[in-house]
Amino acid sequence: MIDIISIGEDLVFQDTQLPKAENLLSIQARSLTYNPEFGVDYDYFLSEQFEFQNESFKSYILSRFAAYAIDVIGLSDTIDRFTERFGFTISNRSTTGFIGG
Amino acid sequence: MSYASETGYVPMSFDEIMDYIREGVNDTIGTTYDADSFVGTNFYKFFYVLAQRVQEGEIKTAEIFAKVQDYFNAFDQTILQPKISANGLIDTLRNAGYAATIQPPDEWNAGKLNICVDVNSEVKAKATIQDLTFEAKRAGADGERVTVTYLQNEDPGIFVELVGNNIIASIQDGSSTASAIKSAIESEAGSIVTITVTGTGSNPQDINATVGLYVDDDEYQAKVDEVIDIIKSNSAAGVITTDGFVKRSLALSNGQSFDFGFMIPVKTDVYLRLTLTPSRNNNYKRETPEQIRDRLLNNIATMYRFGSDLESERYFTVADAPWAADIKLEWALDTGGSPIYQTGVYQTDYTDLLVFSEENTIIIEE
Repeated sequence: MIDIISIGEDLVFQDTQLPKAENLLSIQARSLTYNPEFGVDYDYFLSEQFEFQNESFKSYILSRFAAYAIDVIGLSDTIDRFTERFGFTISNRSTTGFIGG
Repeated sequence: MSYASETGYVPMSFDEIMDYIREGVNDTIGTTYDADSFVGTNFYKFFYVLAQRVQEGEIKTAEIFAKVQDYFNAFDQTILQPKISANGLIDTLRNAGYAATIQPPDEWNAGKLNICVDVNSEVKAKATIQDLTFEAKRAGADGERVTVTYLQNEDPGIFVELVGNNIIASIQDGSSTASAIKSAIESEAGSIVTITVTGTGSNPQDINATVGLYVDDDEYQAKVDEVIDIIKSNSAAGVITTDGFVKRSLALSNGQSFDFGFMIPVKTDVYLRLTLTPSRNNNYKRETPEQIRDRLLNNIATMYRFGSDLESERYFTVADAPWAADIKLEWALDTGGSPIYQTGVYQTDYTDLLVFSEENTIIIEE
């Protein structure tokens, strides 16, 4: 789907879902006044009492992508000492079917 | 359309604004975003701020509509009931916090607007001429009617005359002493004023002095000014309102001086006697005389208004004392002697203000 992206100092149209995915991952859920559902609830995973599990976090992110019709076609997972890095590959394909979160 | 006569102006929701934007994006760029897939895109991100501002504008517009509607409602009310009608004037005074009555017009006072407003002061009016200070015996506005004038007496000695509330003392200019004038006025007008020597009693007094007694009470004077101003602004042209007790001259918008006035209510104490006969047919708990008296006075406080007639049968009924078989409420006006109780309705004059009190209320349980 065509979206607006910035390349250098220019704003251009491009057929990509990348900005949408980036917006989703960069917004804390409940922080938008008019769309509180949008975003990822990092606060929940980072609360003190919560025992963080990488697998469930990964599943949660995938479910958030699915909820906003972003197709993930590849997933890389690299562990470097104490850091686990998830890489999501996003499809450009226009999705017509919609999965409710 | 955001406006409907029943609901007023309903502001567009954020989602509705976003829908308009999305349709615009679809038309311009050729995308096929629907409401759900649009959320989160960079278009959404950029227009989010814009939509937020539009939404604020929508809310402000709705507020303005509500205010305009209020204004029209208030304006309609004013047109329905002009302030210059008797009801309108009473309402305007009531809104300003004053209980008021208007004398019903008859052929003797046609063209006159006689208003009685419940404003008074407990302070007694006072004035000083040279070495003497005069104080009215009656408190408040009543005392303000008293005037004192010193004139030259063509005959020897001091001669005092009381014309209504005007005390005219004819004295010997430069030789009659303050003390002599005091005793002369006291013997003639002692019923309306008290005189004290505030200077030197042996000083001779000069003629051509005149004063009106004045209530030195800022709160009261401010209230009088306010009431007079309301009457000025809300009485129709051609109507004379000077037939009052309290008078003030006010300038009209063209600078013309005009007299306006109003009456002060005449307070009359009312004696009440409530006789209750208990019923033998029920077991309702009887109340103490104090409780009954409080309830009676409370009922009167809610039902009686300045200007109403005294309707004794309405003030206490069997509903107030279910244990009673018979209730009789009698009243008597304070005429100085022992009260002569009667029943029925007392039709008040427009200046009558009835005063009910605990001391003057008797409860009898038979």
